[in-house]
Amino acid sequence: MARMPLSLEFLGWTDPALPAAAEWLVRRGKAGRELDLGRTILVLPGSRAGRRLLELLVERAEAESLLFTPPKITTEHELPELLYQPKLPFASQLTQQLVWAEVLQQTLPDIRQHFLPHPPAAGDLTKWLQLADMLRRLHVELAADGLNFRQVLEAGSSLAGFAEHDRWEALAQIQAAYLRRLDSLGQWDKQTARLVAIEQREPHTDREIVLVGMADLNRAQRQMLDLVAEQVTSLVFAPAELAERFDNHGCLIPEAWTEAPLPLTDDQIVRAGGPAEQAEAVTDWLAGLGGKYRAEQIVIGVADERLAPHLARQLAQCGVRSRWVEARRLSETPPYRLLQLIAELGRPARFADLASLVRHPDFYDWLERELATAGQTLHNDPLSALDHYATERVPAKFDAARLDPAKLDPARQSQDQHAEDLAKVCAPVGKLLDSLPKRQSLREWGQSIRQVLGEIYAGRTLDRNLPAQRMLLQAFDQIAGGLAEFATIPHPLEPQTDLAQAFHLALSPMADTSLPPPAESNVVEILGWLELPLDDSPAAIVTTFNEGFVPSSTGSDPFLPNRLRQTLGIVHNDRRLARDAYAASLLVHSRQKLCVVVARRDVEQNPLAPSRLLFAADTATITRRALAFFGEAPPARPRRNLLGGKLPILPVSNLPVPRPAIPAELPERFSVTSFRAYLSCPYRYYLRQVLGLVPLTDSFSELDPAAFGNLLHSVLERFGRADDAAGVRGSTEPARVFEYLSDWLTSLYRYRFGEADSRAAVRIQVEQARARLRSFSDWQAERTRTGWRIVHSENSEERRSFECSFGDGPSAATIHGRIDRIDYHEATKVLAILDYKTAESGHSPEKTHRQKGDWIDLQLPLYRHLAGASQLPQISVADCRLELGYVLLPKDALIRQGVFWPPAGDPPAFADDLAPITQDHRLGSWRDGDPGGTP
Amino acid sequence: MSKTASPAHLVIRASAGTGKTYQLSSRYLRLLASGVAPDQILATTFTRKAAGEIQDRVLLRLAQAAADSNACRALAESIGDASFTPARAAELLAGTARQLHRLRVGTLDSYFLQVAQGFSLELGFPLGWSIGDELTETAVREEAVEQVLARGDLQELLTLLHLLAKGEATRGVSRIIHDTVRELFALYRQSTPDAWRKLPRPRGLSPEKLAETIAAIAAYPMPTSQWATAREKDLTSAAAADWTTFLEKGLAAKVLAGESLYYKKPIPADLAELYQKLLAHARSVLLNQLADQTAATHDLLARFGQQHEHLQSERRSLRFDDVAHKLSAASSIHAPDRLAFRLDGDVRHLLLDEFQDTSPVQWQVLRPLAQAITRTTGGSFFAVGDTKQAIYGWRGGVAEIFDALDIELTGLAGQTLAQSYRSSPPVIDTVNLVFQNLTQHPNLDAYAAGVAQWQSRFPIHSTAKTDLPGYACLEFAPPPGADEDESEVLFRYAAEEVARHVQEAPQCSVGVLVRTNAAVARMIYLLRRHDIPASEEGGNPLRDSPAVELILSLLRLADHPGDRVARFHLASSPLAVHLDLSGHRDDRAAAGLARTLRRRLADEGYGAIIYDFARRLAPACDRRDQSRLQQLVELAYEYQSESSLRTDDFIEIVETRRIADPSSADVRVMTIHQAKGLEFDVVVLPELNGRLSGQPAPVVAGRPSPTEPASFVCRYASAEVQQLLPAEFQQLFDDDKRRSIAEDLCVLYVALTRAVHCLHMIVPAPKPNERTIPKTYAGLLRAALAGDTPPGASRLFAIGDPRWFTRLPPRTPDPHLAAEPAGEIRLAPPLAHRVRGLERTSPSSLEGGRVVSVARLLEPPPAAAFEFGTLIHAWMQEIEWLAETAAASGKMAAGHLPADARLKALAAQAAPGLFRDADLAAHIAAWRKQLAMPEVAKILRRSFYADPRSLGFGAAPPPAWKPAEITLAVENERSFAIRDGDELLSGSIDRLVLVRRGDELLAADVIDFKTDSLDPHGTNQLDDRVEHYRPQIEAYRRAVAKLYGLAPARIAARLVFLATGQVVSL
Ligand code: SF4
Repeated sequence: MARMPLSLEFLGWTDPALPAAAEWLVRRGKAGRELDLGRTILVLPGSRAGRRLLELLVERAEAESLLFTPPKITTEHELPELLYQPKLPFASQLTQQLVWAEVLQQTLPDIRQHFLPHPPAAGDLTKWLQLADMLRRLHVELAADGLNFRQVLEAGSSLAGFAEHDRWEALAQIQAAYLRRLDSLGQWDKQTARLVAIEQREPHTDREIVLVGMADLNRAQRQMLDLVAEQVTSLVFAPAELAERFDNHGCLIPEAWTEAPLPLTDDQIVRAGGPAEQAEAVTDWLAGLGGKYRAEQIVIGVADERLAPHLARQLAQCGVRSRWVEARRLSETPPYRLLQLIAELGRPARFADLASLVRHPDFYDWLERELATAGQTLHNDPLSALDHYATERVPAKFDAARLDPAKLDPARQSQDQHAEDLAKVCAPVGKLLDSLPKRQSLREWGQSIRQVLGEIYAGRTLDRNLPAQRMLLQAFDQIAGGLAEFATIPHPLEPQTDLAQAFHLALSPMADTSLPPPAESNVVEILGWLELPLDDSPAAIVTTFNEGFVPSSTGSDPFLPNRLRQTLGIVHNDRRLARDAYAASLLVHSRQKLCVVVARRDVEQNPLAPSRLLFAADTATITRRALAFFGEAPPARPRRNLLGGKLPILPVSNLPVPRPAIPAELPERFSVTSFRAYLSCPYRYYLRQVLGLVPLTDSFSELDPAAFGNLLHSVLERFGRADDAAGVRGSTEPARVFEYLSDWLTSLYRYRFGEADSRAAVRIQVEQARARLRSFSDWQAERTRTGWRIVHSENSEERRSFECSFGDGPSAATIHGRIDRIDYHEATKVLAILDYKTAESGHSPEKTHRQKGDWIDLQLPLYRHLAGASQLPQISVADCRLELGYVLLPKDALIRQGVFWPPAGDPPAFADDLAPITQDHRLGSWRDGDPGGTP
Repeated sequence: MSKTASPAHLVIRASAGTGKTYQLSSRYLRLLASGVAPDQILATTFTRKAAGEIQDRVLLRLAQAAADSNACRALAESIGDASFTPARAAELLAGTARQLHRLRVGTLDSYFLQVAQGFSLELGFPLGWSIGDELTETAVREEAVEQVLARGDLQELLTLLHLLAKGEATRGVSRIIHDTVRELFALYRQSTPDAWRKLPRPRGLSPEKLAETIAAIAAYPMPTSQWATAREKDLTSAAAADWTTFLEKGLAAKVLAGESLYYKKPIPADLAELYQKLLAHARSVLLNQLADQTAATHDLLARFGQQHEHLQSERRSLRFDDVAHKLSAASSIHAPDRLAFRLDGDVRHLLLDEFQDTSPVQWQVLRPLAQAITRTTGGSFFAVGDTKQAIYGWRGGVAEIFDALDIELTGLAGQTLAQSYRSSPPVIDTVNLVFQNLTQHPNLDAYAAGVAQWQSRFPIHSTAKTDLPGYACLEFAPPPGADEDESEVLFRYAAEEVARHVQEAPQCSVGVLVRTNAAVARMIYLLRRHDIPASEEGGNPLRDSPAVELILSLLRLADHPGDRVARFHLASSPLAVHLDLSGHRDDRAAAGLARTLRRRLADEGYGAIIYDFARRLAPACDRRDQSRLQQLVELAYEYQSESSLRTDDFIEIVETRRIADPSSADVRVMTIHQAKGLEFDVVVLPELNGRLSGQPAPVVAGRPSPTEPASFVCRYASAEVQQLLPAEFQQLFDDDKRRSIAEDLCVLYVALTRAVHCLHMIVPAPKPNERTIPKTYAGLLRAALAGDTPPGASRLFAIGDPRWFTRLPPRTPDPHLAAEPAGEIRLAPPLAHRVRGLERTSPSSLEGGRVVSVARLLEPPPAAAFEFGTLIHAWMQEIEWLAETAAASGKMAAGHLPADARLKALAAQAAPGLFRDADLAAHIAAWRKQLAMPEVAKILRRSFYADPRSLGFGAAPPPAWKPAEITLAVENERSFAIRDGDELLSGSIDRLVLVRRGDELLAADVIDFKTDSLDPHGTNQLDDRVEHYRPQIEAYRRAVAKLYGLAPARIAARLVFLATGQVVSL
């Protein structure tokens, strides 16, 4: 039976497409004072174009005061279901995915291995679902062109070098199983349903269908339209003279477009280097428009969407407002982020995840509310509470249940503010998390997730009229929609999952959904390349007019390489080229102002070639362009100053290093150890000791040397003060000493760091500490044996320190310091002042104190004074000879008693946290006499 | 037609400046000209930039040939086809330019990526993988290390770490593993597992035997006190098990070295024998230690590798290295047929650039292709490179593969190019002098052999640019003062010299080439002080600007309000006035500020916030700080899409990513590695004073051939221990030394050959106490160029014309550079009303008003409610009017309502497959009942419209009418689209009744059906619902008013709650 072809209407291309279409529709549909398009279906390639066309129709109707009944406007994706009557509900994407996954897992390994030699582990649902999704996409793409996997196998077999027979055979079997399974669930696969409808010649309609600029239709769409051809008109935006370049559906004939010349003139082409230069070129072009156009009459096309942020930035910096539909993705919105974090939180949570969660602004607000409601006050803000905890304990995991501040550290009697704070912060967090079950069905997860969101956002309202809140509103809508999908999964398929999997199933697929910012007036629109041809702004500039973007082309494809695509007649490179060649032609002909920017580098600095469309020209033009494009680029013009505005630029930055406020509140008492700091850098000393500047952060992978030292100190301090009645302190048995030390180390580790929660490295560091204590035990026992006894040991709880004063009057200073330990040798009347050193280097006192003949540390000499001033029970210090020394606890386990006084070593290197203030990273420093300032 | 044949398979060794890219592009053009399709030619190199240059060059040469007959002749010659014409060039150009997408010119990595993507499933790659950035990889590595530490047995780990830390500067636990991994993971993957366990493990003496031997030595009568002292020392070391010291000196060292005299006295045989025993024991201990260390290293790497692979697969993120590694291990995919099918084309011609930088893994992937090509006819193989420029050993490049090509492939022809097309004769002469006289250096010691080998392979260079004016010199910098640093003086002097060059030859480009990034920053700074704008290649992290540091402090504070350093930094900066932060002690203010910042970052994004603060800071900045701030703003906008909740993540990017200053100055400063492939009119080398061969490699490895995985691995050992090793292991250490000195010489070669006109080498003045020439580049240059310099001279060597620049043509000012940036952007004033891009709304979206609670947004959809609502609406559409008669009796006149069959058909359409038959029947019955409810039925009858007063109009109702004079029209599902302010309002009205008198439209009635299930007695609830729907109904009213030109007061509207039969007029 000869089918009637659908009607083609060539509307030309000197006018923008959509106004031309509107004009045509009005002309056709107007009857008296009425414009009734109620029986018309308009099919457009994208929803944006559909909205614009409606806008144009309304504009026309209102201008002519017509009683307007709008048409049904749709995209090619939704058209088919308007033409036939589905008999079963369609399986949602999630259901399809679950079915594919089930079928895949049940396929015999012998068959499956032909395309999947490395299957995921049986329980790894996430990976199976990823595979399922891959097959789903392949299925959708092929079905759109009326093909199933078996047909690919047949077509492929005709190709030379086709070695994929077994692979497609396996895929065909799996596909058949997939359809059978869906059927048994009483649901339909949409693509297959369409094919069946075509086969049964079901499509029919009593409405009129108008295709608007549908330059590329797939096979299923064509077949469906053919069945209702009498009702179909295809509007083609090209002059009738070019009819031979379109087929009888009004679609492009690829071969006719591959060589079609693009009448761009050289002055419409601008060359630019990288992204910043492209943005600059756009601003130049805008400036060149000379105020002729309103913002909304100008559009900036992005063939490479990654350029959009650069354009948005440049325009913002030039005071031009812009709107990029894809600017915000769901994944960037607070509710999505919140869910993502909660979903990925392990049990117990990783400390880093918890730290991120508390930094979520909405979560933080909730937390503060909760704390206030519970009447809890903290010593610090919640974030600092976490930071302090991290600094002290280097946690990897975090278990709220374990956090009982009373039991934290047996070595510490005083109040532990940080732990208390943290316990308070964690109580509500823990409660929230505990309300979530470990595993449950997806349907139940939908409910749980809603509850969590409801809790955090309790009482929050959103105003549609405020742009920021509107985006948030859309985000909640999207999320709610994603969760609602859970309810559509047939029960037999519904898996029990944990939260992370539920999140991945419901929300991850929507992560990239963009939330269009609200329309605003006086805004320049940034548009994707595909949207551009049907846009009707009179002035347009296209960025990244480069190969790979215009036209795009695929690299390798694991299933459908280009050659196979060509054989199968599905979208291939030539069709892409034709589509873009046509789009470019349409732009060239229909715009008052058009410019294309050809870049040399993409946003990742990859070199780019110009679009091959630019070489669809006569030989002379090709040669001219090739000389320009491939030759050396002309030097770039200096970029505009986007920060300073019109203010004159200072010859030298006025960002001096802050000078010490003199007179500073100088401490009256100096600690012994601070001298090293003072001598190595007085300014840093000022910052650290006088102003008390300490950084606070929370990323540690293990104990830093100071914390490691503290650990050892804590143990040794305990030892020094051990009850002598137990006989440990005076023991000459190394084993006994060691046992004592080791036990203490273990308890400290357990309570201070938490065996289960601390970073893995800490567990090893503790063992390293133990090894050092073993050597210490040998040394200590031997020392006691030779007549030494400990007469003083530091007590960090009491913070007892030794003091002595120097000078008098206003310059008087008190020196104070703690002494790790003092030993006394009765026989020789020697007092030994000992300092425990745990640094890996184990430098001698000499090396530590003097360098190139200069003093860099005064600790030990000052101890001499301190000791002189010290009161020791039953010992007359004045009568004793003093010995000063380090007890090295170096890692090589060779305990040596330090050599005594005096002095040289490496200059202090300042890669420290104060560097931002002292500006150590700047090129060259103010020390060279740069007027930038010096302390 | 004359065509010169060129060997099908050709390997070119091309010295610097001899035109590698030219050769490669010629080859490419030759293939194109002979009709080869572009997708049959695979041309690869190592950097994306270089790949772009090759492609550009191919097309440019065609274009030049098409445009200019001289260029065409040159091209014809280089492709060996004298018949080549401009027309043919134009034709080829057009053909190629239109097939740009089929060109396979790119990096090796990108080719591997393409293959890997095609074979993802076969290779077992994680689904949806991509190449992750460096930060992702760092995170993966950190996590892997954590896992290694968390999973391993504690004692095993301790032993492992103990072994690893041995003999090295100590680091933290994680650091040790990180460093091991960073340095050795690549080697681990490119080695056989047993390679790490090949060291011999000799048995030592038993404790008794050892004690016995020591006692015997102790008791041995020594001839002199010197001997006795030496024995004492030896025995102390032995007792302390310090075997390294034992070996180092004294009698043990002599016996080990096989000498027979000690302090001029013969060593008695029996004593020597005792010593031999101890030496054997020492050897046993030390070798076992080394073997343990080596094996432990392997163990650790294996554990790490396992975790790493697992985590990569979880995150679906790989690095190029991983791709190459996986490809090299999967032989099956390299079958040419399969490859050709998936890659859409058969690669028949292989063109490899910079071949000396190829790594064994890369070659293992390329080899099957190369072998297939060289074995069959019709294809061709081409490689070009220069082993003298092999400076990427640290990246895995193994220059020896170049030498092994002859074994790997058959039928290769070779060619050597040593004629420069870049440099002036003085530069080339200097290069020749240097590299022919390296061995003049008097004390190269351990490096002598490597240096000699390098020198022996150096081909004498010549230059084609014989007319190029030029100059080369080697000179001493002034001697440093008492407190001065040698490098500092060199840099300062170099800066002065650069200033002089710029003044003398303003038209020339100057490259200042140094060895470290720190030196780049230093030189840039010093040049600035001479008012010379210099640009850096590669660049530094942005924090080299104090202005950027301030913004970073702001971000730090956002994440860590307790960070007092950040607080103070901000409080004492120009930003303070814009922040609510009085000083660094105010905890509350800091927490508040942090909270505001985090909120703003989440709402507005990094770009907007950072721009905001940068703009405020800009007035305090000079040009450079402004430019760095601007780059920070750019980075922030770019970052937004990958942003996280931690500002720390962004700070880390800013602190690690190197960003070059965008100014393109004539003076450029960079490391020698970055200069590879570039050229400068003047090259200044100020940092020639570093020692040759710095750090020893942490391990040495040996491969059976350069292209194969390592089969011998040994951790680094001191010279003393090395001599105890079997010969094949000693050889590894020798090879390593040779390799490292060779690479050093390559770096020097690259540095010297960058110069076009002038080469200026600055070396430190000899120290007053200098006795021998230092083992540095400076030393090598001094020895080679200035053998015996008269003391006190500052210029050691000079050749050419010191005023070479006077012979250059004057510079023509570039019109582009003079041009000012284009003017301001001006836009036409906006219209009062928007005409495009109207916000699209539907009345139903207005339900509940403008302000919605989040709780409502999250309400779960009631099960099947949607479909049920659709169904009822579909049925309601079927009704025009109900019969009047039923009013009294409460019964329906059946004729006015659709039959069940019709209703069922509608249901099937509205919600296919959703309702079972029985359910449907129940629904139908319920619906019929709803219609019978008095209030509902009333408004569906014509009689309802008899009297306008009953309809409930607004303040200005329509004039009264009589039933007889009006006509009623019902429009079910009346769709509309109107402009409503700045919005486009579209939707459809469930039921619209129009009242006309003649042609005049008197009034309209908007009816909206609701299927909410309401509690019939709860008035509050009803009121709530009505209020909820009011905005929607108001929108309908506006639509009708606009469509029909009817005053709103004449439009009645009502909500019909079908479930309860309530009708509410609005
Ligand atoms: S000059 Fe540097 S090192 Fe000295 S005080 Fe100032 S900041 Fe510290």
